[in-house]
Amino acid sequence: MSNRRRFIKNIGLASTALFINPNILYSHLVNKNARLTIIYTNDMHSRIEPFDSGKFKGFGGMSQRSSIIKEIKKNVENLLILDAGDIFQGTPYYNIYKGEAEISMMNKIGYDAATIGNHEFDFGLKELSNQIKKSNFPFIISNYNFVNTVLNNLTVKYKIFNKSGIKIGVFGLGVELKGLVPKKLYEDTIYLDPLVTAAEYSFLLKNKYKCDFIICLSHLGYTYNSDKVSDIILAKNSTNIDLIIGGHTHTFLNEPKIVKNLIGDNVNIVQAGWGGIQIGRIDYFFNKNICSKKFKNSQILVKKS
Amino acid sequence: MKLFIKIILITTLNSSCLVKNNIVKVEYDYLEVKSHPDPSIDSLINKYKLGLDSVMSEVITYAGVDMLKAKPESVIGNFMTDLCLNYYDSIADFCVLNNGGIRSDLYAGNITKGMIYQLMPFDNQMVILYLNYQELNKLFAYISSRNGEPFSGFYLSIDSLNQYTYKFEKQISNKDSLYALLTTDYLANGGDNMWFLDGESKTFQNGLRQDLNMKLRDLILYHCQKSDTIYSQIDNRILYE
Repeated sequence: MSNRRRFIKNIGLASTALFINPNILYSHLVNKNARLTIIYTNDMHSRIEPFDSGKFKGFGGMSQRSSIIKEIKKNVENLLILDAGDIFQGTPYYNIYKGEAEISMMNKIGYDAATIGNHEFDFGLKELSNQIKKSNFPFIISNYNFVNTVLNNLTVKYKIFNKSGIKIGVFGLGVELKGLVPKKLYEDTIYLDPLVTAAEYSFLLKNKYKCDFIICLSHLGYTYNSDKVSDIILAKNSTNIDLIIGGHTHTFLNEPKIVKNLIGDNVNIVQAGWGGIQIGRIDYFFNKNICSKKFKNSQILVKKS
Repeated sequence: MKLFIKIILITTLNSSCLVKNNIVKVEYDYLEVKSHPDPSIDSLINKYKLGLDSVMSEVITYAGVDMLKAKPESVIGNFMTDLCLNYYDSIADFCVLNNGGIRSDLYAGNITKGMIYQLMPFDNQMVILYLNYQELNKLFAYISSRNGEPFSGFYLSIDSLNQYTYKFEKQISNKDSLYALLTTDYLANGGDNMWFLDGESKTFQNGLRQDLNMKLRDLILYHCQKSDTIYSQIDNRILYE
């Protein structure tokens, strides 16, 4: 067993042991049944207007996505709106405005968080830092260390959301930059092993911050024909993650993938294609002891009226 | 004592519900939603679109056929690599780009400047790398293993054991000469896992790399602007036997 695997396994066992630790008594209780609704996008790739040609003609559009999300907002109490990266690059909006257009609209829609995709680096770190400063939501990324760059302190490693007493811990994972993004664009960003980082932050969120539900915003990619780290590999080698919202491979997952983790628990993986053609929605129904007993996943194809 | 029992009860309750993600019911569905635009977003789009459209909506040429992304060979890939090699014909022997770098299809009909930006949104610059025989073969093996990448200037034939044979369109004097590869700085810097082209590996230092200070997108725009109609086709330049 490699050191990395052993470390992940150990951290997994440690957290299992903590389940019977008496300090759990001090964790909060929710006194009613609650529903958590998560809306997710990934790889929007600057597709601000609906596609105007090709097989996706008439689909997508930031304005159309916004209307659908507004409608959902009216009917749910506990909502998180999340993006799994590659917000930028793909239409002239990005070439000309360097990401300002996309961020201003995501602010308007009310995104709660996003992670950083490889194309977020396409105009370099300085330009990315300018855009992050314009966002009203945090960029959550746990395995890029920006300490030696202009992005230092502009991103967060994790964030905890509290919705009707349900504590939701969110951390983020980015894809390996070497070989994918030119060095001159990512400069001195340090890439950390995603599996080890995931084990560390999910452990922290579960056991130190007593989160009831843990989400990984991932730009690793759904799966590969090689042993390259993917959402599937991450799920199998994890212990505390409940949901992985993925991106990068532009995968239209029209049903959630359910994978057993290291200790036999279920991890759900979702991804909503690319270009904002689809929006994902997932509802978790918690009972009063914060067990999720049921979930529902919808893929919403966005069509211009 | 009473207190103690209570604690145990809560503990039991709590630990039972901490069985993670104890899902007993999973539902999923797929809906198509016809959505009206959101005026608050539209007003933002309009603000940005004005400046954009004045530049991007200009029709610069006409596409005679659909040019779609595909593997191992694509019309759009042949179109892009051929126009690049034609432009640098006097100094390059062959051209290789990457399928991942082709970011959209072009359809028959009017082609606007904006469509070319969608096809090639990156600011990648053209580069010539002078490959020796071993490096050349690494590149061919890479293309074969990737089930094809867009290229121009040679024919590649791959058998069932993944062994390849190639033939250049140009006469190249002998095995010891250097082969002038036209590509982008993205690939020349090792992008898309073409690590064997990586400038940092010192292989392409010592004058074996020439930066042309020309963006790939500008080359495509130039080609379109001087052509009434653009056209390309599959010519079986890569064949899996």
